[in-house]
Amino acid sequence: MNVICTFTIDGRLAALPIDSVREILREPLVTPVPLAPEGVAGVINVRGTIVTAVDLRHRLGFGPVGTHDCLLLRNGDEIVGALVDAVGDVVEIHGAEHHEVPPTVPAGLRRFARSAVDVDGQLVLLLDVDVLAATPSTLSKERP
Amino acid sequence: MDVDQEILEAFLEESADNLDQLDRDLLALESGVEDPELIARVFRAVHTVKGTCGFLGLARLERVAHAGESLLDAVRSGNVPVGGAVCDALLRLVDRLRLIVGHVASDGNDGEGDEGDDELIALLEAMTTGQAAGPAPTAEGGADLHADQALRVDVTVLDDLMNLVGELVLVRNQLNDLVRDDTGRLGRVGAELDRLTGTIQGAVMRTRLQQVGVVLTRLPRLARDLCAMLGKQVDLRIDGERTTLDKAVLDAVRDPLVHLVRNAVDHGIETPDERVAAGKPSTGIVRVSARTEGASVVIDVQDDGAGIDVDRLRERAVRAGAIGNEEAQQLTDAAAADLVFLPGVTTAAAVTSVSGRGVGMDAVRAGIEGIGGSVEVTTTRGVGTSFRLRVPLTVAITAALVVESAGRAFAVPQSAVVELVGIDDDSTATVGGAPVLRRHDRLIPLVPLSELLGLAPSGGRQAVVVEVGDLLFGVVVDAVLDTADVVVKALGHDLSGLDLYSGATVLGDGSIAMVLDTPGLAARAGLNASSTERPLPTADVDELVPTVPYVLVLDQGRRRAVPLAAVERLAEVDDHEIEHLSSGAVAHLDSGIVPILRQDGRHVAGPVTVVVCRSAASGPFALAVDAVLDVVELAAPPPGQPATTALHDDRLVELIDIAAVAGRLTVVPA
Repeated sequence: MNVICTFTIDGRLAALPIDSVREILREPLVTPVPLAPEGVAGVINVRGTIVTAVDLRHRLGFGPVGTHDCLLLRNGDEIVGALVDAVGDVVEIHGAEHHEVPPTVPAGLRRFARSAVDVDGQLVLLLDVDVLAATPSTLSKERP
Repeated sequence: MDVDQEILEAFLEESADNLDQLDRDLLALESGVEDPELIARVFRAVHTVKGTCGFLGLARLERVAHAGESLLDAVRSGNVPVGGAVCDALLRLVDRLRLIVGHVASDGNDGEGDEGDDELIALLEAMTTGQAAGPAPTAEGGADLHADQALRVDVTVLDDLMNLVGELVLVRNQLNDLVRDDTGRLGRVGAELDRLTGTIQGAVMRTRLQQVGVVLTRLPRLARDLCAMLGKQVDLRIDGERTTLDKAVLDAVRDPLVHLVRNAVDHGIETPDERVAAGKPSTGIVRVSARTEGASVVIDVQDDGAGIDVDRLRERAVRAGAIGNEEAQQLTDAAAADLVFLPGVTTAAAVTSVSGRGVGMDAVRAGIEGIGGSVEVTTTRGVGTSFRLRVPLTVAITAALVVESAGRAFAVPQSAVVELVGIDDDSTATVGGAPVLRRHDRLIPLVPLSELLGLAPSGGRQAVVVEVGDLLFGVVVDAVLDTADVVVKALGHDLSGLDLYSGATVLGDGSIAMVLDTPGLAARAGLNASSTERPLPTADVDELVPTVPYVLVLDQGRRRAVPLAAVERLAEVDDHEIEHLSSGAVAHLDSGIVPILRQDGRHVAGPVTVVVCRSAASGPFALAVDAVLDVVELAAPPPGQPATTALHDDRLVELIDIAAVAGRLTVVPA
């Protein structure tokens, strides 16, 4: 796991391992689904397949923002779209230094963060792909 | 090592030996060795496997072994001759047992799921009762196909094919939008692609069709066992087992059918003594019949038993808290019979091991409605009960109405739509503050879609009247945008819990419309069949005249009506889609090439609206009309007298005799 895909979430720099990201969609059209569970932004048409769009900001305890990009991630046997503020770069982190996640990172984000990585002088929170399992209710629970 | 573990190990070892011996013995039998001792040994081996796994709680293994044991019992007693087909089936049994024993050895249990157990058991059971004398039928219901003409295809391949065709249909729709007004070459090529796509779609649909018989084969055995357990005599009659259905639909009707037959035997049919006392033959009849009606398949499960005691049903429903006492007393008997579908309501006097716990009928309804079908019950005391399942031929591609509410598009399956009504002050009223639509002397509740979905209120001017079971209600939308064949796609885990939607679909412009689930909408609106089916108290005698739905059309300036039962669908046909052959005219429709004609035999030229009809004697044909006006209820003709006219809105409507029109067809439908 030496290549990661960076993105911003509520203005914070985060990343997922590239091998967990199936595809990046820039500002896809999200069709809202009335009465959908909280945190589900709607559905996206990905070349004829209907993909559920989960608002990762909401799931991690942040407020929604206007624009978004989308990362298609595999979650169990389905592909789910995770909405983030904006997708950044795909970067090689071979040999980069991993730091422990500081306790001052907001709880929602910290729960799914594996480490903080130095990328070109910026610290990026490397998230676990389990982040999709996040719900607002998991925020209060301790990390096992 | 604990005792259980020790027994298990011994069982595994013994089974391996037994299964190997079985293989050898079966092969000897197959090669024509006639030795009663050989058959007895085979029987004992399977019997031993079954006995031990019952002891160890290996239910799956026991079930499979049991089916094999029954067949071997019949072979041993000479009721079923030993033949290649029987040996073949028994060898498949051995393979299956070996597979499951493998699960036991590796996981300590007999494996999750099915892996085709049901199919094998059905085959073994069919052979036991002597119904499958020929070569082993394939899983795809191809019993009537010669082996060399049938292929076994992995269902996932068919599913993939289906998805691809779905994509193709969507692209076709988009292309149609682009070339709609093109009269040149592009338009013609587009039309050709349109036609081909429709043909491919139909062909792929057919690959997924299975005969209903695949699920009906289990029923005789079920009825027989139940009779033995309950001391009843039942003659189970099955009709229409060759009726075909999409695999997904068939899977969905399997359990409901078993449940209905079990119910019919358990508390539909009386005991022989009761029957004789009631002046009926001691043997009851349960009839399961399937037939195609338009784009639906209708499956009836009828018994000639005691009928449902609707008074007791009312009482039970009240006791279960499903409805109030007063409400229950006001229900008509027909509406009260519907209470049987409510959770927690049972008609059985006593709970037996078979049924009567009041679980199940609600699951039957939910299962059937889940695939866009419906269940109805009719019952007469002392005469019998009849359940009618109506399911779509296929679930994947659905004709839908695309509607708009609060600026968003939604799709409503056309199978649920009864009619579209423009809303104006004359046709609507409020009753106790609730808006209703006056329609054919009925008051139909109106529910604004935007309100149901929690969207911004919008003043809808169109009502889509939908039918859920016996319940009619009008969904108020801002506009009806389009009708389209849509591919309904399943929703992901996060959304599949919403019963408001049966899926989502991609429209011609690439945008997504959620597909509304009409039973879910009814539930969300707080409507249920028993609260609205109750007719409003009225002295109007006309209401007592039975009515039949007709499609009202305008033809040569005259209002005529086609029985809705004969109508498959409505379509628009362009001139270039009509070909004039020496024997008559044909039209290219999505569903294929069908004869097209006018009622009076005049020359047909497009563009024209057609009503695609089907009569008992003919295949589909297209009846060209000037316009389709409405779907209306007209007085049913008295039995045995073909009516030629009926009254609608105080005006005379000419009834079209579909059989007579079909009789004039000069081109035989393909």
